[in-house]
Amino acid sequence: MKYHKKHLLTFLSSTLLLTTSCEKDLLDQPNPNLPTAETFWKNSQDATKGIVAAYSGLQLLGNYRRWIYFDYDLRSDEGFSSSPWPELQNFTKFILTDYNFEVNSVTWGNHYVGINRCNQVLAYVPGIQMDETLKTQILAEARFIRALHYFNLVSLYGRPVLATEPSTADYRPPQASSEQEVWDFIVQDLQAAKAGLPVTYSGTDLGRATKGAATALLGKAYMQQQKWTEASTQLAEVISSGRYSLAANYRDNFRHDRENGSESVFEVQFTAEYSADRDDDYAGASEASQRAQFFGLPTKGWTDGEARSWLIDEFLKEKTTTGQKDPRLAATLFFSRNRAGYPYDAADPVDQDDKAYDNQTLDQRFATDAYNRNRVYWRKYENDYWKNVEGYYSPINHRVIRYSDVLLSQAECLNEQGKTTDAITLINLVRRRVGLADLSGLSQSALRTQLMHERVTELAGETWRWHDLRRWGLLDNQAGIDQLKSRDPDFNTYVVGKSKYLPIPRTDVDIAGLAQNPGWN
Amino acid sequence: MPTLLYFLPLSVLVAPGAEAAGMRVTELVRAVAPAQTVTGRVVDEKGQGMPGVTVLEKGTSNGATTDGDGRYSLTVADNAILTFSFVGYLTQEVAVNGRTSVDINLAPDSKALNEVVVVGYLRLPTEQVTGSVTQVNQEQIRRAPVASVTEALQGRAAGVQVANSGAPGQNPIVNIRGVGSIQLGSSPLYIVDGVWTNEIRDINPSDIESSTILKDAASLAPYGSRGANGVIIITTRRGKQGKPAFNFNGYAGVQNIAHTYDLAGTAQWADITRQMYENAGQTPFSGAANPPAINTDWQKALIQSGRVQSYNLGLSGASESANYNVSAGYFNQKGTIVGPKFERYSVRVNTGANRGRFRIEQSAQFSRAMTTRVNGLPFIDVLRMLPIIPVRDSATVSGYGFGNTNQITFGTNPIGQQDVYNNTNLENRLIGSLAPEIKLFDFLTYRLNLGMEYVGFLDRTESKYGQAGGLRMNEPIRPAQLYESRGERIFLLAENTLNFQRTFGKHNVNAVAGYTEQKNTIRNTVADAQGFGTGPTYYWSLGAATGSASVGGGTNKWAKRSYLGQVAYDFDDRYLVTGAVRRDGSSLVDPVNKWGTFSAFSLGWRISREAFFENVPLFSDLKLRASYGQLGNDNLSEYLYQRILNPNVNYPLGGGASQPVQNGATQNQLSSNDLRWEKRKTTNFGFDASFLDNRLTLAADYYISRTTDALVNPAIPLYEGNVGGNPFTNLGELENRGFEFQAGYQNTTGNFRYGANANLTTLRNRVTQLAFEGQNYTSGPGGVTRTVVGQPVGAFYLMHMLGIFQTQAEIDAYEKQPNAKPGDVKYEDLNNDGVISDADRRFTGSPFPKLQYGFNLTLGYKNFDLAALFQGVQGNDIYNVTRYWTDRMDDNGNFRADIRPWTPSNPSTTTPRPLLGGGQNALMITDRWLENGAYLRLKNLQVSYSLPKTITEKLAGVGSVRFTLTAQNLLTFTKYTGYDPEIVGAGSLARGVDEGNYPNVRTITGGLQVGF
Repeated sequence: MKYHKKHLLTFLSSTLLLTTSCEKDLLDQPNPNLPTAETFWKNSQDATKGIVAAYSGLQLLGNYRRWIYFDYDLRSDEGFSSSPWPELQNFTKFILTDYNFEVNSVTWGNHYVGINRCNQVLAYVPGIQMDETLKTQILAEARFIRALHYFNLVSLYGRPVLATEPSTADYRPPQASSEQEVWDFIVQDLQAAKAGLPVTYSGTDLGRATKGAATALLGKAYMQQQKWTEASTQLAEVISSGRYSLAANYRDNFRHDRENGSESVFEVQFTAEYSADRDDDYAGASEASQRAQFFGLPTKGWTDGEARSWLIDEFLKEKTTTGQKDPRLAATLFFSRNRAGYPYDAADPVDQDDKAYDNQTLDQRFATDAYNRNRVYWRKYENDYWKNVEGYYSPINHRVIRYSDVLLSQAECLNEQGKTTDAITLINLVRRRVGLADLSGLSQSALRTQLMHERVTELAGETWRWHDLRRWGLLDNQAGIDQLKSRDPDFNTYVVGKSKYLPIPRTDVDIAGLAQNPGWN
Repeated sequence: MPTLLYFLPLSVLVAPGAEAAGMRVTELVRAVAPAQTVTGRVVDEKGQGMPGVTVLEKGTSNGATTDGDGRYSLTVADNAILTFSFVGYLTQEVAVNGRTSVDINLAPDSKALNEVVVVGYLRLPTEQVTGSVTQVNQEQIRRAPVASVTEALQGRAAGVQVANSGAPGQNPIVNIRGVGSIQLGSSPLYIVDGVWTNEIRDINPSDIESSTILKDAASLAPYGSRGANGVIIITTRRGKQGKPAFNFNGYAGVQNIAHTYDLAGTAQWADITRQMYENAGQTPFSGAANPPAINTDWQKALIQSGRVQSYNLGLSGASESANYNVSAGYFNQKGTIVGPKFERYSVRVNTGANRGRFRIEQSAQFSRAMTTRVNGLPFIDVLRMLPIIPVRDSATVSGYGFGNTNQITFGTNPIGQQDVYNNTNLENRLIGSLAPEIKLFDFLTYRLNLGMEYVGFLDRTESKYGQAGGLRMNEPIRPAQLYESRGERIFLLAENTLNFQRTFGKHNVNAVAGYTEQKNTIRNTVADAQGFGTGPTYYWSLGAATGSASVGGGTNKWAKRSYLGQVAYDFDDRYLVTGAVRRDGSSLVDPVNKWGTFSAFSLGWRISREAFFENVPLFSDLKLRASYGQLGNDNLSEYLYQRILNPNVNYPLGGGASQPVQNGATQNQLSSNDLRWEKRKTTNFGFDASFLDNRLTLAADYYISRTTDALVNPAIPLYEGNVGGNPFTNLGELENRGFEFQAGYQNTTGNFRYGANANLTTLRNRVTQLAFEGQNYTSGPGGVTRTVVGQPVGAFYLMHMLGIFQTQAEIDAYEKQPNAKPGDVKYEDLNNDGVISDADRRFTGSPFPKLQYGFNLTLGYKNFDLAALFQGVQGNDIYNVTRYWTDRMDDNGNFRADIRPWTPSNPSTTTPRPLLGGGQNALMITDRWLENGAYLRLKNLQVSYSLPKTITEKLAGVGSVRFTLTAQNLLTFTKYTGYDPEIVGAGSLARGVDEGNYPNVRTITGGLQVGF
């Protein structure tokens, strides 16, 4: 009996031992797959990866990869949508029934994805032991990118939420109390960025934000606030730096093989190189723009966005010193040269340049399709100059700020300060490139009107028109809207006091109790 | 390595040691007294010989089993005491006193209505159960011609909600006592022969011996952090004493979709579409202006007749010291739409042995299941495709017709989608347990339960050239692509328990203490490659890819360690008390909250055992019971609390032609901070009664269960910039309460047998607290549901349609929709702010049935049997997304054939005018799409005929032959206009939404069961 019991106990205890003692740290299961915030942010390589990720935020769908062109170019009087997607058509008509409509919610949300990446750099990089010069630069880059996001948010939504720390599940940063508060925030970021950014980059750093980029954006930020003096101080600094000059050929600004050139102040980088057929954050995923596909003409792209025909007339208002049409017309738009009232001239280079894709004109392509033949399509940023199709992988960098914009902006600031003659000098630099005659002797108010023309012809389809309309006050009163209506019937459904801002997506109003923009309640 | 250590060597170690111990016991006893042989016969209450009765020499392992006629023979000491035992009969002890012949009459045990029930780590006689426990018998389960046990449980047990879809290979959604979690998994824990698992789709229903559903805290506390959602214990068949028995059962039949929409043909469609464009002041596209001579019936093209077949072959038997059951099954289902199918092979081996104080039970099932999945939302797309689009169109890259500028629709060709994508899942699964047990003393048993589940899986999608771009307007045409995700999941379980059982006078104690460990590891490798040409012949191997390729994969692990104790005590079978506690440590929650303790207790009073109750003739038994306790839910995925970086947030820098992509890293997805267990506190009151010599049984329960620290991952503000799934937090509290009734009646009159079972469940689900005032979670397509305090989880939050504006005067008088035109929808200004906007929403309808019921009727006459199960729900509403598509008339798609849009000459009060772009006419967030979801369904009807013994006796070797004719989902009574009122919902926060749910199928099968 004794033996029996002892035997059992031995058996029992050995069993228990076996099942209990194998893994002392059984309940501590570290992540075997990926780094965490605790294990990351240790050295300069980590800091560099962090800032690369922040730049990558500019490529999101709601930013320069896709929707921002709908927000700006199509909602302005330059463009519109006749997409078969009715909500998208309505979007450019300022009609939203669902405030979480994809374009609206992704625009808003993706800007904050980008901001969160900047905020992580700003929160974690200061604690890293690393080269101080590089650290200063990386922090300045993060502030520049963050400022650019807020520039867009304030322009579209008026009173965004001011997130300044890495997001956590319960992070509830304050909503800006006024537009002015956002502009002040942007100015602060850009001043810091300007102080920490290098003047140029070389090698694999090319494409990062420079001191010039921060200065130019700061100038534009002041300008949007109509702080002409402060703005012109900044823009003058960019001009006098001597770092920038206009590209000899206007069209080089919209090609994938002439990127980061002398005229470029800041570009969002895109490339068609990808190995994985997806556009999220994944090894080998796409780093390309989708604008060309969405604005491409029928059979080549989706044609979800197109141009208003008054743009053609705007280009036709002036001829070059050699009596030809403004070459920027052919660079900006595709259209049938047989359209009613168009002064076709077979000898004019603009009218010779009427073929796109497959060496066909629109008249040839849509010989039996009057509707598609007579539409006006965006050519800027399309790939017709080297390809016969469009696709989701356009490699063309988006030029956020071009030097010609700096010149025209400075001209406007100077003119507003009464320095009309100085302003004309700058405008003439832009005009000469495309062969237009110099301006002279315009009054302040005449130049104001002239500048509106200059900015359209130089910058149409480059997202700036919306900012211009805002700055010129055309979006604030019925007189302005009536003017815009005459060019773009989308403004028939624009409501003064409401449509200047997009509605804040329903999710954020519902969950976080954000104040909805006026008129959208 | 460590996992193997704690798992494998035990079985090696256990066997020799225990065997030695067992032999020693026998030898010791034999040394005491001279032996003699006793023979005899055991008969039942009707005087018939009872086979399989265990005859034991008391205090030893020396025993025998009666033969087919009830006879036994055993050599015992001449002063031995013999015990005769048989399930359902009172055990008798008889002293031999030198006799050589002992005959016995065994009397049925009236209190053992059923056998013992497993509750936690104890096996209790049913009359001692004080919690809420429901058993569903195996015959009922096997009656349903379905792939899984859970499907067969539907309507059979009070308090158990099962939601099926008709998709082959589906895994039904099962909720016990409502939704206990706002967003975490609310599925119960399944325990199959001692192994914990989250799904039992591939457990062959034909192998089931019993299924027990544990519902209240007292029964569930032993499962601690996995108990909150209820537990379903499945035991599989073991060999029964007697000669080896072969049996075969099989059935085959057809399946179809009982109800489809009556959709517009080309002429009607074109007419409404033209109105839609003209009302918006636009020119209709050419296909609507001049429709071609095509009239495609998309539903007919998609839906086909399905078939189902199932065959099972088994061999089982047992001797007094060993038992075995070996069975093999095959199940095959071809979908009721083109494409999907499901096929499963399974093999089960269950064995057991006992010798002396040592006992071991083994069970294992291997299954191989192959599913071809449904792609996309075909039941929505058939409504969106236009009748002028041909199913096949040689002009497109895929060969399938779809929208273009002449035939605008953004619907996807659903037939092409099933063909262009071949999306399959393969699962090889081994689930099994090995449980050695040793009786240390008569009152103390040590049991080691080792369980494992191994799943080897392969998910594979072959996408032919023309995927997306060849099926839907404006999608990019993507190259042919092959995706494979291959991996394995291994779950290991080791449970050490010491079981104490002893009677002290009138005090009975049954207790258990244990220590357990669990570990789960998933590893997978993902590969994705493009470039397989343009067909029609494809070589679907990764090595054949000529285009870009990418890889992924990883390892996820979690582990749990637990201490547990459970006690059942009764005094004189009259006063019953149980208690249980479990302390769990888990790697899934934030390390600061790693440990959690869960406990419960219950009380029972068997009034029928009281002296004063003896004179109440009606009752055979009456028991009152109550329980209270706290359970947990940790249905989380790994590493959620960690702030994980995405290592591939890349950006091209450096310019030039190469523009090298540089590697960036950031935390894209927010972490879930401070995660704790979700806790569920349940109070239960109930009674069990039986009448008329147990012919009529009745059980009723009332419960209140409160979930606190509910883990939710609500939508967070977009300005948080989160990418990927939202973080979890312990925010909510919610409450479920309800009544459950279960009644049964069985009787036999001459050749006529009849019985009825009914169950009824009421449910009230309410969110009682969220993180802060006004917090809500929006879900469902278009955000039609909202989860807030005071409403059920996933309540409908919608605008209210008042009717249709008939005249401009009416619009002018209303003032609130100044832009409306006659024929537009009129909405109620619920917030009285003078304008109609999405602020004018209210809570309406109910996503949960207020009442659900099942009614099971069995009739038998001689060799014929009939069984019918009716099942239904009442008091719920369904948001019908399919009707949104047929009726919206603001975007291109097809329409109901009986739609009569408003026109000046047809002043409809329910259907607005067609209007492209629609303004407010076709808002999703309105109650225009909400419908009554009540239904009554003849879920199962079975007629069977058994060949009489006189015939089977003439067939050599055949024991029994039974023919069956079965219909599943034969009849449905409902007002719901969609495909099927039985829906699985659109996620846990939108379970009342029918987003093109694959309708349940009507199945008619013929079957045969043969025993040899």
